[in-house]
Amino acid sequence: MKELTLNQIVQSVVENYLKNLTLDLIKRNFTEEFYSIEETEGDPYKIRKNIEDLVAETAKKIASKIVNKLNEQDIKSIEDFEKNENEQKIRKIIADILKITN
Amino acid sequence: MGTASRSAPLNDSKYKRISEEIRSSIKEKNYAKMADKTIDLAANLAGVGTIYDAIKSGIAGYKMYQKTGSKSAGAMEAVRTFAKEGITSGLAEGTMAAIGGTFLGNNIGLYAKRAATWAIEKSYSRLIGD
Repeated sequence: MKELTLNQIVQSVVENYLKNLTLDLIKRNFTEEFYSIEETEGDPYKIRKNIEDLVAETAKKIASKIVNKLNEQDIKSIEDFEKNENEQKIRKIIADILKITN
Repeated sequence: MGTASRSAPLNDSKYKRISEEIRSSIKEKNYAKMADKTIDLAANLAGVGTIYDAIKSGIAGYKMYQKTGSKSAGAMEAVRTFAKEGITSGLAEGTMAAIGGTFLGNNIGLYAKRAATWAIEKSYSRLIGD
């Protein structure tokens, strides 16, 4: 059976979640802008692939930052993550790194 | 934890401001900036609570996987846990997609697509106050 660490779970969840959400957001909201670029440059596949790669890379970096910050604050295991007293600390880390201010 | 613990919807002016920044970066063909800004928007639409709950659900899924030895049972438990917190089953699939990356390798295409679709619709509904 595969053994996973907290770091691996956080990395996977945050990275995939952000990546999927972002790519769908682009597709749904900014297609019109892309059509104009595609018409002038004639290589839509390349542009799309480039953007997908950039989004994936950025999502990966953000997830790594969250993992590192959790470790810095001694949240290193699943047990640490589940401690009640750590919940606000974890939420703050997520908000700070993702610049969520709502 | 639960629905009440999730972040409030992104306010309209911030949504519009980030959207405009994304449009400008597309016009400038600055795709790196565009990627940053769109992730910023996606994260703000999702909110801290949703991302926190997604990780917790991932952990629950992992525990089930450890207990049963079954990858799909682990993924399903992640979904169940997420759904239990009061979010729609559709958004829970977002967790399944994410967890899929861990449990099931990279073979998450269908789940990921459905998840992103549902997650984004849910986020928009919250944004416009449905």
